[in-house]
Amino acid sequence: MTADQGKRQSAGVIGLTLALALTGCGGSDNDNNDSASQNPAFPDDAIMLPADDLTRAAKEAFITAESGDVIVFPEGRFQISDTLTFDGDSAGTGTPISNITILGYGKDKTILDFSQSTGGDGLFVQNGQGIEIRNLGVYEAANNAIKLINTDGIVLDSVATVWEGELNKDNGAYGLYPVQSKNILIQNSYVRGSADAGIYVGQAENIVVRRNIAVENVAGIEVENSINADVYDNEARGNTGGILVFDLPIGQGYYGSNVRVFDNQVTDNNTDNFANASEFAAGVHIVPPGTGIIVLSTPDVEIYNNTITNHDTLSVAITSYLLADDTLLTTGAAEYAPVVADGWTPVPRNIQLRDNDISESGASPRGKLIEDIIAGYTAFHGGLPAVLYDGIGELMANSGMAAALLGAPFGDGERICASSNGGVSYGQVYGTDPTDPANGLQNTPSAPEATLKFEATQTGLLACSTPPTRLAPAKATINGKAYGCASNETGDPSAASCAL
Amino acid sequence: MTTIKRSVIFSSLLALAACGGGSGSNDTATPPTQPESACANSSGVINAAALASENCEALSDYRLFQNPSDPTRNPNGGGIPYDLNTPLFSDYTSKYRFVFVPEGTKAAYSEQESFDFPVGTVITKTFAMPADTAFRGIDNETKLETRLLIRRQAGWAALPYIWNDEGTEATLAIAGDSLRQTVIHNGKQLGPFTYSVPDMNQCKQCHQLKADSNSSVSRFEPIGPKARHLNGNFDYGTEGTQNQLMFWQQAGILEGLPADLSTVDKVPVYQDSDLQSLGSKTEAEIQALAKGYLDSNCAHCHRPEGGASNTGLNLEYWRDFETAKFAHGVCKKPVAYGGGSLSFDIKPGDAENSILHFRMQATNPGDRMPEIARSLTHEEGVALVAKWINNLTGDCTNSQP
Repeated sequence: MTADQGKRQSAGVIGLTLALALTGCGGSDNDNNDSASQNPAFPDDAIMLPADDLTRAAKEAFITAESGDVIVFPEGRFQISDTLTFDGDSAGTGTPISNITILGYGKDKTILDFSQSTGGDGLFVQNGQGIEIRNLGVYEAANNAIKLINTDGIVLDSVATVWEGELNKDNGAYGLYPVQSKNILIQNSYVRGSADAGIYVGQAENIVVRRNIAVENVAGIEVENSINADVYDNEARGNTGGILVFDLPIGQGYYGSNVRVFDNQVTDNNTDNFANASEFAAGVHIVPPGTGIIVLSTPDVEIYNNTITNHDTLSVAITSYLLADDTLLTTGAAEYAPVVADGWTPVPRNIQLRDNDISESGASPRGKLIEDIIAGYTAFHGGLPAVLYDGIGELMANSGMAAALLGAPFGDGERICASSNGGVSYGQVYGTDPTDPANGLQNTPSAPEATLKFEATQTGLLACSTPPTRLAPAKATINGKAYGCASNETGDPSAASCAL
Repeated sequence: MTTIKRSVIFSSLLALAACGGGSGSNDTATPPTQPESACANSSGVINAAALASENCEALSDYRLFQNPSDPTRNPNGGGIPYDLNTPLFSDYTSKYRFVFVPEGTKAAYSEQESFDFPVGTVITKTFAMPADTAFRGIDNETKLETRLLIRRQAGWAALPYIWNDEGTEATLAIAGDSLRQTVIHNGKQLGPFTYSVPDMNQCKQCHQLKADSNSSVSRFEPIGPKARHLNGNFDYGTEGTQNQLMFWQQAGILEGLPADLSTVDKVPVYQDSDLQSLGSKTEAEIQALAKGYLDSNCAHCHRPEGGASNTGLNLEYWRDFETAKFAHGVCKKPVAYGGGSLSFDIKPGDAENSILHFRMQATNPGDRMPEIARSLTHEEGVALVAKWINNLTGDCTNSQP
């Protein structure tokens, strides 16, 4: 932690106290050992699954589960032959059973190996209420390791989702994957090798993600189309992209806002995208390798007190969806219009990037999505900035030329603001003033022109005279207990992060 | 008029239904067939008491068929056989479906959804594997499983029964099973492959319906018995060939059917043998066939109210294609799938580079769609959808800034 402490101190006075407070945090300095699981104590009435014919036994326990059940997988590594599906409301009455706990003996001691399974997912939970999964590992699932959908109340604590060996495209998509769910706590977990996102929370709300380690996935941690999420005290390292906050045009009424990313260690996310070779990549596959944190389209995001170091391409990127698909205002407009009417916003607003310790950025920039940007910055400025904002969405919104798709011109409180991120370089691909001739909207025919603004140290770019209002902290309430910075919990090892 | 008999035994079913959706029998520690169990009840033609309250160990306990080892004909208690115009593909099995609606009650017609069946309704579907798909018929087939949907007071219960090797007895298998199978199709042997009998929780992965994509209540619903899938002819033997919806109405199990049947939506028939005639179809006919196929094979999940609502891919038959191409997947990037080397759910004119086509063709568990209950590729279904996609025009481009 010595090097980290040094970097934190450079970020400001509060960095020092933080580093001291976190020294005892076990979650971020080893990968696969969990002292809490050394001597698991199970309740007397726990359902202890037998090692023999474990797939069938687990299925039967899931099918016949009643509220309050504790289901314990045995110690050891087991071949599971099919997806283990839990449905909290199998009769469809609207009153699901609740408070179901699924346990193992430790995330490195109980390993459910799905490499020979006929099913796509490992564990699959739907329509649940108060589901806690702790102390087990799910390995080699063909599709997703642990997927939960339409579930209110999810604890994923000290679990591992792993694809071993060389990283390749045949690895599963998501490790920990709650979607269209709410009240989600993911902590003390380890995700490695997923060909999409290691931890992916999508179309969800009330989310706490802390003290996890995401290593060598395409995306380390991704919050997508989700509301009220706190991502803190995690370690994202060796992924293609470290931490992503995305809002995608899905069209089912779920769109994101109020996401806080703080006090994370985001390092060395330089792994080439090992999953997707498509011409027009989707989702996280648009991520340029070597990127620390990306905000795509999501409004109301606060990124602070993170350590973001050693990224080949960009440390932080903040961008509208126009970067992912520039047909949004032209040939694609008709298709996007209903999604915008559904609530999606292509242009991020009210983003704050502050007090991060950013270093070692842009040594070897790459990524198909931004190859023109890389070429331009390399030609004119000798390389990419550490912090990059696309500006194009704001420019077009400010022009009023596409208000139906992009919204009104940016007002106070909607700006993209950065401050106190160390002496790193800033860039902005497009200016945001539609009346400035340099931005091309005054020309005939009118077309935005990339001005590739660059500041070796921040002077004017993303500088806001009044800092944005801080975002509300999140909490997740599961089985009557609340977790996270907005809760009353005491003694949590990451409490210091909440105080930042 | 029909001569189908309706058993009065169903009235007792209503009275007993209050004991709820199988809650008395979902304890594995207790043998389902206790002495006092309704499963052992011998009164009545159909064992309505057991249907109402118990998940019986033996399918025969319910006495739904005259011959307990033949669930493909001669239903007891007014059961009516039915087919769907274009069915879900299930590894080339033949399917034998019956609906049993209690005497004096009717299912309520719905324009788009499965009919609202009264408490006491039972739907049976028996899956049988032909030795050779060229020679179907139960005498040339092996019964694999019989699935029951029972409309109890608390909602639908789904019970999978697996037949023994002799085909004499089907036993409840709440955890499902994996059966090694082969089948000859178009002169070629397919397999051995694993035919998966879904477990009880997997049933609802497909059989669920929310009020909308933001609702948390996920009801259990039948999938097949929708007007558009039933709107076709069925050979009722001595009673001749009749439109199924009309027949159901005349049999007194359906109310609310529009007087003018021509106003009722109809998924066009697509059976495997129809592959040969695709070449003579117009593009509009191909699209209707493809949308019908996608409706019965995908849209129970791929709709805003279904299990795959998170994907943004909505494939209901009634959804207008021209005004909702994106929801159909055209030039839509996947939300919950990496895409491999492919970019779009549907790339117009290019089935080979469309994810929808790729996943229909795939058989490995990470890629295949539907994700459960299929091990083989449905060559005829894939060919239909390929032809449809290849007919589409348009260009999915997004040049980079």
